[in-house]
Parts: sequence; C-alpha cells; structure tokens
Amino acid sequence: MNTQRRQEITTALIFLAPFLVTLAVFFVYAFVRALYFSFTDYNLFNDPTLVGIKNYTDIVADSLFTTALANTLLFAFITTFLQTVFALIVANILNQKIRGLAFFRTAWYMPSITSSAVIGLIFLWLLQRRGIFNYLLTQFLAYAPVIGTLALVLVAAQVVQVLIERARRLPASWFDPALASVSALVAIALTWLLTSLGVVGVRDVPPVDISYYATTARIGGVLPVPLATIIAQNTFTTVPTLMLFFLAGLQNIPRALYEAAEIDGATKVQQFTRVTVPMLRPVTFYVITTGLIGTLQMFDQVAIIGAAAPLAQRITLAYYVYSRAFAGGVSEVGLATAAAIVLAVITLIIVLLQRRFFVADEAQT
Amino acid sequence: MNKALLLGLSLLALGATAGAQNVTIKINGYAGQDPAIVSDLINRFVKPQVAKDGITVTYEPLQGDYNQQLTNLLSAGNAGDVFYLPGETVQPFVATGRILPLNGLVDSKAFLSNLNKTFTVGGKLYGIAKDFNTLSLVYNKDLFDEAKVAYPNANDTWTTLATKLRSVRKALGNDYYGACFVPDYARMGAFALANGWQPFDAQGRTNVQDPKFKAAFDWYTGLAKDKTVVQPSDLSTDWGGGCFGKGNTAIAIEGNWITGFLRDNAPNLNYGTAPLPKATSGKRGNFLYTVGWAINARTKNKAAAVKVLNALTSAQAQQYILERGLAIPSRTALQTNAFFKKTTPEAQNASVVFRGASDGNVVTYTAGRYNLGEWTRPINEALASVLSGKSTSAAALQKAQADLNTLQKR
Amino acid sequence: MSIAKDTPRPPARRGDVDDRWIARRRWARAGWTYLFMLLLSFLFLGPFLMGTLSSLKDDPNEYPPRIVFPQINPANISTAYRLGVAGGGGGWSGGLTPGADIDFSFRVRQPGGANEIPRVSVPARRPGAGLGAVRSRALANEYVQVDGPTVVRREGDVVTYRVKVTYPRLTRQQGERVFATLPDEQSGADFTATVGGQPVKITLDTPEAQQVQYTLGSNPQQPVELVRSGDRYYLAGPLIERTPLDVNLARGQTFEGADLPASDVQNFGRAQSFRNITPGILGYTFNNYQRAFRESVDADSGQSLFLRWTLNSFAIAITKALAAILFASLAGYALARFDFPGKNLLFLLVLFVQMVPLQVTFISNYLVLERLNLLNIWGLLLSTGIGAAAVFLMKQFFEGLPRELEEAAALDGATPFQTFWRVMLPQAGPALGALTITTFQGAWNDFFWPLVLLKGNLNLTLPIGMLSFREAYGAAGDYGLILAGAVLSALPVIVLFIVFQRYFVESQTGSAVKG
Repeated sequence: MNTQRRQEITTALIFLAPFLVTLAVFFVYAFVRALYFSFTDYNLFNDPTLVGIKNYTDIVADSLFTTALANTLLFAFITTFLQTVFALIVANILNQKIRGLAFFRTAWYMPSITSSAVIGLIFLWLLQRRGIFNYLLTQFLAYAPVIGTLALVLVAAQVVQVLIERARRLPASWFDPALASVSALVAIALTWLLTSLGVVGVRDVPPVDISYYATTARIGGVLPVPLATIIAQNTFTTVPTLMLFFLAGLQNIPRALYEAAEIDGATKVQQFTRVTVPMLRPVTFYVITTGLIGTLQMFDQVAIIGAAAPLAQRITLAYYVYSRAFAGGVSEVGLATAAAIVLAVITLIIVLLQRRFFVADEAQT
Repeated sequence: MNKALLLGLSLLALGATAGAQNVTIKINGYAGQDPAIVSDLINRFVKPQVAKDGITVTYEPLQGDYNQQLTNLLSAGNAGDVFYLPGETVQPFVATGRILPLNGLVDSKAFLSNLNKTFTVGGKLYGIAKDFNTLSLVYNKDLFDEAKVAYPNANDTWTTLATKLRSVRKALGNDYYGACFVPDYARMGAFALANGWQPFDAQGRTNVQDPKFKAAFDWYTGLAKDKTVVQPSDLSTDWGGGCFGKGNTAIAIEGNWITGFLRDNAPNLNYGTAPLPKATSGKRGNFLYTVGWAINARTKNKAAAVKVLNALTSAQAQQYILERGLAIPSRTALQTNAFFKKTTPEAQNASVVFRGASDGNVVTYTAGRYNLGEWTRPINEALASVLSGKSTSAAALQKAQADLNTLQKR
Repeated sequence: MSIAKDTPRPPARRGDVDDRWIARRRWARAGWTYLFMLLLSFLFLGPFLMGTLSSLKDDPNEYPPRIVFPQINPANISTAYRLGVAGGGGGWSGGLTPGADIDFSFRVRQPGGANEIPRVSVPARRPGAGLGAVRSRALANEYVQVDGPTVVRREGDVVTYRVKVTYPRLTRQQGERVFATLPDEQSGADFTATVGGQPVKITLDTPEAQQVQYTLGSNPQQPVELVRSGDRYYLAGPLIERTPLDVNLARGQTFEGADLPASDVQNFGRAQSFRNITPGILGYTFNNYQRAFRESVDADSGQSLFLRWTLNSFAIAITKALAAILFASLAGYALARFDFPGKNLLFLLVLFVQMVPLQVTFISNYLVLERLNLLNIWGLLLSTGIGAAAVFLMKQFFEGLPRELEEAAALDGATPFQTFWRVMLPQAGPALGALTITTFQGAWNDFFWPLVLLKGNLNLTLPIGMLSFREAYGAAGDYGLILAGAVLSALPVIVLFIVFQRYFVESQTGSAVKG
C-alpha cells in the first residue's frame, strides 16, 4: 500500500516535472522577485536596496498612474459588458435551424483570427480624420432624408398591414416577417418614386470631421475618445467568437425545457429569463471571466496607436508598467513592478467578486 | 629610453593580439533604413581601415522603441560595443554609468560645437554626433508663382511670412493653405527660442507663461484662426511633410528628412528652401535633432571600438553620406563642401539645414533630466486645444504650466 | 430578436391560418435572417475588405475614397501588361531591359494659342527612403533615349502626343542573352560579372559601354544583361527596375489623360509625373506589395524579412502547440488522476497564474532569459511553452473521462506512462484539437512578450515586424505599405483557418460550453 502510494507520487511528479519547472522559474520565482523589486529602488543598473512602500506611495501620487488606472477600469468594464451583450443578442437572433450557417461562421470568425497588430493598423487607417469611417458617416448624413423616408414608410406600411391582418383575426405580430417583406418592398418603391420626383434627395453636408486619436476629448467627460476606439475595436474582434460560444450554448439547451415552459403559459420574455439565461450561465461566466482578465491587461493597441494619440488618452496600467520599466536610460523598475502588483491585485479582486456574484445568483434560482 | 622600448613592446604586443584574435565589434542602431546605410558605411569606410587589425564589424538594428531596447540591452550587459545615443536621452543614459567618456580617446574639435555640447554632461563628452538636422522652411515654388507672391527668403520675419501665406491663400482659393502646423513642441518651440525664451531657467524650471513663449505660441496658433494654417489631419496625413507633398500647402517647417519623402511621394514638386523666419527681435531659433555614436563602458575591446567610431565619423564617410543625400554631416569643415553649393532643391535644403545649426538661438531638442514625452505632453496638449479652437491660449498655457509644475515637483 | 424567435401562435378561432400562411411566414423569416447574416458579414469583414482594396491604391488616404480606382481598371491593367512587355521585363513584373522600345501617348487640351509642345523627360529618380535609398542601382535616365513628343492626332483642341523611349543595347554583338550580377566591387583592370556563381570577364565593345563602365561598376549586386558570342561576354546593359517619365505642360494647357494615369500631379495639373511607364501588372496594381518585399530585406544577408518573420511566427506557433499537446496534457492528467501532497495547492496555483498579468512577471523573466543568453525565439518558447490555461483545460477534460479504461489497462500491466500514451491521450482528441488551435492562435497573435523579448531584425515575429512599417519617415504612416503588409501578414493564418475552420470553431465553442 505504502509503496503503491509512493509510486503514485513519483509518477505524478515525473508527469508534472516539465510543467513544474517552468512554473517555478517563470512564475513563482518571477512573482516573488517582482514583489521584492516593488519594495526596492532597483533601476536595472544598481544593486537594489529596500525603500519600504515608497514606490506604492509614489505611484498613487503620479497622475499618469491614476489616469492609467481609471482608463484600465473603464476599458475593462465597458468592453466586457458590450462584447457580452452584443454576442448574446446576435446569438439569439441566429439561434435557428438554417442552412449555410457554416459558411457565415467562417466569415465572422475572421476578426478573431487576425492578430491585434494587423487589426490595430487597419483601424488606425480607417479612423483617420479624413478616413473611411468619417466618410461613411458623411455619406449617411447626406443620405439621411432618403434613409429616413425609407424607415418611416417601412414602419407605416407594417403597422397598416398588421392592423388589417388583426382585423381579419389573424395572429400577426408586429414583427411579422412576411408582412415586413411586403412593407420593405413598398418602402423601397415609394422612396425610389419620391427620390426620382425630387421630393426627397441627397443633402449637401460638410465632411464629418472627428479626430479619433489626436484629441483630448472625452466621451461624457470621462472616457477618452482614443480609448473608445480601442473598445470598439476589441468588441469588434471578440463579438464573433463570443457569439459562437453563446450559439453553441443555446443549441445545447433541450427544446423540451421551452416546450414545458410554454405549456406552463410562460411568455417569450419569461422563457428567455427563466430558461435561456440560467441555462447559459456557465458560458456567460466563462465569457465574462476571460473577458475581464483579458481586458484588464490591455496593451497591444495602446502600443500600436503609439504617438498618434496623447499618452493620457490611451495609457492603461499594462502600458504604464512597460513604459516605466524600459523608459530609456535609468529605469524605474521599482515603480513599474509596484504598478504591476496593483494591477494583479485588482484583477484578482474583480474576478473573485464576479465569481461570488455569479455563484450567489445561481443559488437563488 | 627604457620607456620608449616598453612602449614599443607594448604596441607590438597590442598589434600582435589584435592581429591574432578576431575581434568583433557589434554596433546597435535604429531599424528602418539605417541598417542599409550603416552597413554601406561599414563596407566602404570601416572595413578597409580595420580589417588589417582583425576587427570585424556587425550592425544590429533595434526594432521598436530604440531607447527602451537599448536600456534592456545595456542593463543586460549585451549591448553593442558602439551604439547610437539619441541626443534627447543623453542624460538618462549617462546616469546608468554604462557610457564611456570619450575625452582623450576621440578628437572632438572637428565637430560642430553645438553638437558636442549636446553630448557633454558634467564636463565629459559621451558621444560624437553621427549627423544632425535642424528645421528649415520649404516652399512650393509653383504655388507662389501662380499666386504671384514673392518666395519666402532669409529676410522674412513672422509678420512678413504670415502676410505672404495669407496672400497665397487669398489668390489661390480655399483648397490651398499656407501650411500644416502640428501641435508639437518639436516645431513650435523653435519659434519660442527665436523670441529669446529658454526651455529651462537657472533653477531648471520651465515657464511657458513667459511672455516670450506666449508671443511665439500665439503666432503659431494664430494662423489657424482664419485657416491659413491647418493641421495635418485636416488633409488626411499625419505630419507637415505629408501635407506639403500633396501640393496644396505653400510651405512646410521640417528638417532635411522631408527631401527623402518628397523624392518618393512628390518627385515633381518644385520646391525651394529658406531659413525659418526671424522673430521681432531679429533673431532666429532652431532645434538640433541629433544622434551620436557612443561606446559601451563595458566593451571588452575599447581600442577597437574607438577605431570603429573614428572610421564611422571620418571626413570621407560623412562626405559620402552627404553626397548621397542621406544625412547632414557633423563636421565643421564640410560646410565648404561642393555639395552645399549645388542648385538642386535637395542640396539647397541640406545647406540651409546645415547652417541652421549655428544661426541664432539653437538648442538641442531635449528635455534635460526629464523624460521627453512627459515634459512635452502639457505643451503639446495646449497647442492641440488652441489649434483646434477648443481653448484660448491663456487658459491652455495656464493648464500646461500647472501640469509642468506637478512634473517638476516629482 | 423576436423576428427569429417568433413561433406561430396557436391558431385563432376564425380567419384562414392555413399551411400556406405559416409557410409564407417561415420563408420570409429565413429571408430576413439571411439578410441579417449578410449584414453581419459585411460588418465583420468590411475593414479587411476595405483594407485589402485600398492596399492597391497609390494613395490609400485619398478623400473621398473611391471603390473603383485606376489600379483595378482592366484597361489600365492590360496597358500595364503591354508596357511591361514593351520594357522587356515581362508583362507581370515589368522593368526596363536593353533593347526596349516603348511607345507612350498622352493627350493635351490646347485651346487657341497654347501651342507649345509639352516638355517630356525621363528624370533621375532614386527612392528616398527604405533600403532603396541606400542601395544604388542603375537609373533609367542614364541609359534611355527619349524621342518626341510627336503629334499623333488632333481632335478639336485636344492633341494626342506620342513619346518613344528606347534603351539601345550597349553591344553590337549578337548571340545568346545571359543574365548576370555585378560583384560588390570591381577590382583590377577587368570589368567582371557573376554568371551562375562564376565570375566572367566582360568585353565592352562600344564607346557607350565603355562610358558607363565606372558609374555602373559602383552599383554592387546590379543585375545586368550580357550577350554571349563565342566564348566572350559582351555588356548589353543593366536591368533597370523602373522607367519614370515627367510631362510638363505650358500655362494654358490642360492634361486630358495618358496610357496610364499619372502617379503624381503638381503645379495645377501641369506637372504630370509617371512613376514607371514599364510597370507590368505587379508594378502597377500591386506596387505596394512589391515595395513590402523590396523594402524589407535584411541588409547583410539579403534575406526577405517578411518571409523570415512569417517563418518565425509559424515555427513558434507550431512548436508551442506541440509542447502544449505533450507537456500540458501530461500535467493535466497527473492533476486529474493522481493523488499527491500539495495537489490542491498546485491546482489553486494553476488558477492563480491565469489571473496574474504578464506585466508582473516579465521583468524577472527578461532578466533570467538574458542571463541564459536566450533573448530569442528559444527563450520565448521556453518561457511560455507550457501554459497554465492549457494544463487547466486538460485536467478538466481528463476528469470527465471514465476511470474504467485506465483500470483495464492497469490490469494488463501497463505502466502509468503507457496508460497515458496509449489509452488516455487517444481519447483526448477533441480536447487536444481545442488546445492545439487556441495555442496556435494565441502564439500567432502574441504581442507584449515578444515585443519585450525579441531582438534583431531576423528574430522577430510578424506582429512585431509589422510595426517597423510604421517607422518609415518617423511616425508618419506610409499607409500603402502598412496595408499591404497587414494583408500579407494576415494571409497565411487566414488560409490555415479556411482549411481547418471546422476544428477552429468547434473546438473553441466546445471549450467554452464545458468551461
């Protein structure tokens, strides 16, 4: 018995050996050392001496650090929220038996597989002041009367048709797809007619002139615009993947649950909140946790945007650490590691809180 | 006699070891086009001189942020024996104690004194300028001809230049602009210097609310009010040269680097070069942008490294670089070079840029002991907010001063 | 949302809710869903498509942006092909070779009085940045003759001119054409070139050839065309990369067009400049791509950096995937099945590692690898080869497998490793698929750590190398080059993805649902 146990331990150690070695050197040792550096005046060129918590008080007093901290938290929460919600919505729309989904999935997956460097550079190009994105906005504004007419006619036609159907005691919903197709045709025809008669037409608008990078503007006075572009970009690249996660989760939910709910007289909304949401909890938990961890460490885009945007408008904690560690000449490694430790602690707290919140919520249902 | 014998013997020994051992001197520098230039220099001017000593030379460019990468390598002890030392980070690098003082090893008298000053810290010389740049005013001759306005010239002041730019715009219509000005201290600062402003006072403090600074700031941003001057992003580019290359801005304030860009992007643009306009005081101001050659204090082959450094900065090497239109040489003697007398636009620009180094109030583009990015940030933000019309210059400068004060307290 | 999720309500008592009514709704709903999916595809692919399209433009920053532009106009492409052939370098790659004879025509509107003949020249045009600025090459203006422009046709005010650009051969000998390169330096009295690795002496039989001997000789590695006649080689002339052309009009004249659109226009439309009138299709439509390769070459070895970065990225991604399969699954298996002291602690550590940002550990890791002299790809592999996330994934997976399999194997007397290798690992197919793909993708896109770690042009991975394209002319973006580089660097992984897309999608979704 005893030899068998000893044998098991030996085997386990052999199996684990490569992992344990790298873990010990590149994580445990590195972590402890970082902790140590954060209490010293190490600058890469001297012998570190302990300075107590000076580095921590220094970074708290450093306005660039507080900016980076605020940016990081804003970025992490907004991005995680947006990407989760969007992915959930799109997945719900697509959750039906449809041919050719595989083809579309391939297309949607493209943003997720290309590297952040490639996407970062493309976005940098798209979002110039005289770039494609502002051009599209300009075109949208120019065509606003036409688009408005189209939308207005569409809604009106739909309302009229649904009312007629209901008068005939047919169970038509406001979003009846068949009627909507007719409404769309009517709207297109009428808009075309009005445009060719010159009643509505393209307006002359000055080019939209928003700078997304070289700006000190903040959305709502809080969120720096360059950071918002990174949020948009991150959401853009992650939504497709997360959407497919949710889609797989949705398709794993047994139909029987919905049928049972329907028999109990549950409405669509109730079915969503009582069946879909709880059943998706594992996926949601995974998506939010990995989302938070990933976004809190945001670095790539900040570095790629580089000098195109003012530092305060884009700096995150990860970038703060990097720029302090290798600033050129004597480097403030102590300061950098202190900031890195703060980042780690924040990540840990947020993930634990999130976990508690989720688990508690689960106990209720 | 004994001494002489000893010297002779040691020299012999030195020669013998150098000849026998194969010493490799590694050079670190920028990526981009520098690898090709330096390799070319090594092949043409360094190898022929040092090959007989058994020295081989290799160039290893550092990708990404050069200062960060060099810091990494220096701290790790595996930086090159010889490397670029950017003028704006001399002080922080010297503070590491890993840069070899060159006093007594290299003769620095032949180089422009303003440049030597850049690489001198605490009385010791730590680098030899590889090349340099200053700002010049390039103008589009076709636009001035069409508008029937006189070309900018060496006698122009801020006022006369502004008038010329306004006349060009008036004559050619709203699709044409006077210039693109970037919200960047690296350009605007030259005008403040012309006005007699100093980046650091005797106590090492920066005052951007100094009337001398404010006057230059107001002139620079004032041209934007009637759109005589726009920002590069208005014309979907990100620097003044980009605007100029499009052919609808009358002038650009840039260094010699603009000529290479125009050669690629606007080869048939007919341009000329003038010095920067004079301030009301009658003086000019300018920045020196320079990168030097420095030697690693921990190099195992000091003698060989010095030899390589001397070969890289030799008169022949600098003349070659100048004549290929790649950079402006740092040797005083080259000012009489025939290249500067050529009438091609590129040669004329090089000549103006070269003379810019010793015309008026010229300082190195640096933030002293501060991190350049952190120190210029408040000024650049003030420029951006005024150029885009979001703030008045008084308010913007007040905020910039407050930010600078916080930085200087640290 | 409800478009998709609507299911037919229970039929009302009256009205004709029949099968046709329901079928109609179902068809309509499918139609709307496809439309929605198409819109999503546009949204997700839009930036890439715009980027790819614009990477063909001369100026990707043009405003307003055009969807249809000269570089994709079939007429221009076929002209570029024809001119490439005329230049002698071939319809695809273009260039100018000895014996070329090029006709190029343009139209000028000359209202009454403005009858001056436009001035036409082949200027000296060296690249201003990148490798091209340093590497010296034979330039077209030193070798060509320009005839014209001559009037071909007059239609009202519009006059069509033709220019004839010829590149006379520098030898009068006839014989076999041989391509060679000049050596780095001409040494001795003879003029030599390298043919198939062998140095040969070149005979300069005309005064023109003797005249260019020195200027041509100072271009290291210059490709040249020789003529072999008997056992002697004669110089026909250098192979020239491009043929620029300038057309300058007089005041009052306006430019009406040319065989190819001008690449640069100045002086109120009166100075028209053509970058290359012998471009070939690659030089015209894919100019930025040609530049991406020509301007990213290692100066010492002449190796294409782009190719090298791609290979590095592949090597790292594949090795990391293999390491994950072997070591992470071993560790995951041990954590799942064996009992040993500190097991729970180790598992907690595995969870903890995944939460600690790289920024905490990178300084120490950098110092360690630097001490080991491993600031390169090997260091990258060593430090990140076995990820905690991978171990975690495999542990979860093995825990889900029934124990019976191992027990049967143990009865047969298999060692633990044999059990793992022969029995358990083959069971882990789906999880390994997920692991491989996530590891590969992660390694391919990795940015922070390689940026800190990798030094030297040849050691970089694609994302880091790409950044150097931003550095031409300082911080200013040369977006033609950047976009072409972005497309090229995304291409391999997109191809890989399309081939293996089934595994990509299923593995990832699987891991999420189970995780």
